[in-house]
Amino acid sequence: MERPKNKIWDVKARRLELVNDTYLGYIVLMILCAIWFFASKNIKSELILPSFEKTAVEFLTGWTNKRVMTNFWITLKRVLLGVGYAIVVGTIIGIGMGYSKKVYNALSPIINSIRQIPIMTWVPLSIIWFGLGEGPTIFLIFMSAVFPLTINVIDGVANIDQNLVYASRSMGASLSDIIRDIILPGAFPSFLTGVRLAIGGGWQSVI
Amino acid sequence: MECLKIDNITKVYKGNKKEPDKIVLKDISFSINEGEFVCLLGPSGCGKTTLLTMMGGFLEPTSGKILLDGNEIKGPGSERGYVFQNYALFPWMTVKENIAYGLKFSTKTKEEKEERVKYLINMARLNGNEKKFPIQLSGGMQQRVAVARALAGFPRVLLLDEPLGAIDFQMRELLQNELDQMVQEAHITAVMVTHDVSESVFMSDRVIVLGNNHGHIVSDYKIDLPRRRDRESEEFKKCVTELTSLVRIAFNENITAGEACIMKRRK
Amino acid sequence: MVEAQNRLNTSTLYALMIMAAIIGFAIDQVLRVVERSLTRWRYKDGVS
Repeated sequence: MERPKNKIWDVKARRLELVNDTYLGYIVLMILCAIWFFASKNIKSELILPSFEKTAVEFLTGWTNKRVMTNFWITLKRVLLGVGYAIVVGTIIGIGMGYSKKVYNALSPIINSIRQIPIMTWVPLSIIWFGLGEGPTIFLIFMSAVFPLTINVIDGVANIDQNLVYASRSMGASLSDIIRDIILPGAFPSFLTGVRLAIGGGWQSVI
Repeated sequence: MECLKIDNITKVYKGNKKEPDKIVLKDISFSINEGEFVCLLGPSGCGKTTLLTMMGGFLEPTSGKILLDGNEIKGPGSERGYVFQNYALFPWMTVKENIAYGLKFSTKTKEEKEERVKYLINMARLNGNEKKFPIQLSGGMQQRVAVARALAGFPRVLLLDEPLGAIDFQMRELLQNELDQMVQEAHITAVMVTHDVSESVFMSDRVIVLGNNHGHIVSDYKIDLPRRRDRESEEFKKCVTELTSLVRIAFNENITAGEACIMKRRK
Repeated sequence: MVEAQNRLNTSTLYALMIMAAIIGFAIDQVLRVVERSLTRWRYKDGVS
């Protein structure tokens, strides 16, 4: 017995299947824009919710605005520099802590304590240390980036199968060989995750 | 001709205030001749893997020594190829690179190494799979890569730690055949740890049964059947039955020793 | 952006915030692609 309701569901289900999952994100975005558009018409105050058209105009012209783009570019360079420092420091410390339990126990309390300090409280100190200018900014980026990176490197190194180290030893590998052939490639995926988080954190902290 | 000698090996794990010292192996001695395939058989926890690990040089005995061709073993080395229970293949290297790694630190010329790797890939019947990564291989293929890698550096002995431990029954016999073929073709001395009785009868010339009582050797069982072993033959089945009862004795060793202890204390 | 903050120029502010978010997102996506291609050995499918 065919119920008319079923037919509608069938058609709807088939149509939804055609919609590729990646487009769902864009659909949500468009819905949000629509909500913004209509909400801003109702809420007259520019402070609470600026009008959609005005924001859209600013947004689109922003990409060609020399001042805006230069600023973003400078910020990006600083982030890359700060994250670069964080990568150097974090990788070395991370490998050490991941490989050796002793090193981990020695450094872990200090690092975990410093990590809890809110980033903004570093500002006065960083100005004293690095003067005015780029220094403090890069330092702040460094501080936001170094912890996620280090933690991920530690995780990556520690999760390498111990047997891999044994296996390579039994083939004649020395410590430097082990670092080059096992630890670096083995920790690399976690390292990349750490870099993603570090850049994200760095970018966030300075915009 | 004596190749590997286990001389009075004892292994004790020191306890702390809560737990007493744990004696895993006590005064174990035996020797292995060149070209022999020896299985270490026994119940779980009897110390056979510990013994193999020490032969590999990854663990130090508390007392006693292990000698290879008269030289004491002091750490891992390429004269002893080791196949781990989980194969320990390098996940970021291809099949070819994994096998070639076994040769990486040897002093041979580039051409010799290339040839050796080619030969091993052939022997392990991995042709066509050289560029694959371990994650893309089946369990059987991974095992063959692990064995080939262990054999790459022309080791004197091949040590295998329950290579078929995690495999289900149907695959196991197939893989035993393949493993047997590879080891026989390599003409190498080998020591394998296993808990599967029929596997030990299929693969080895000698089976050393270790018991729960600190790895005490229950039996040194010689198997004189022609290769390739026939699993269905009468002699094969007889060996399996005899060894099974020996393993049972080995398993109960701890209980009898323990019971004796309790009885002593009661008196 | 600090300027826009000070002048309470909300539309500019929002616009710049969104731009920043998009740039950050783009960087992240680039890294994800890099990660996928450099660690092919982790994935069962789609390797040579």
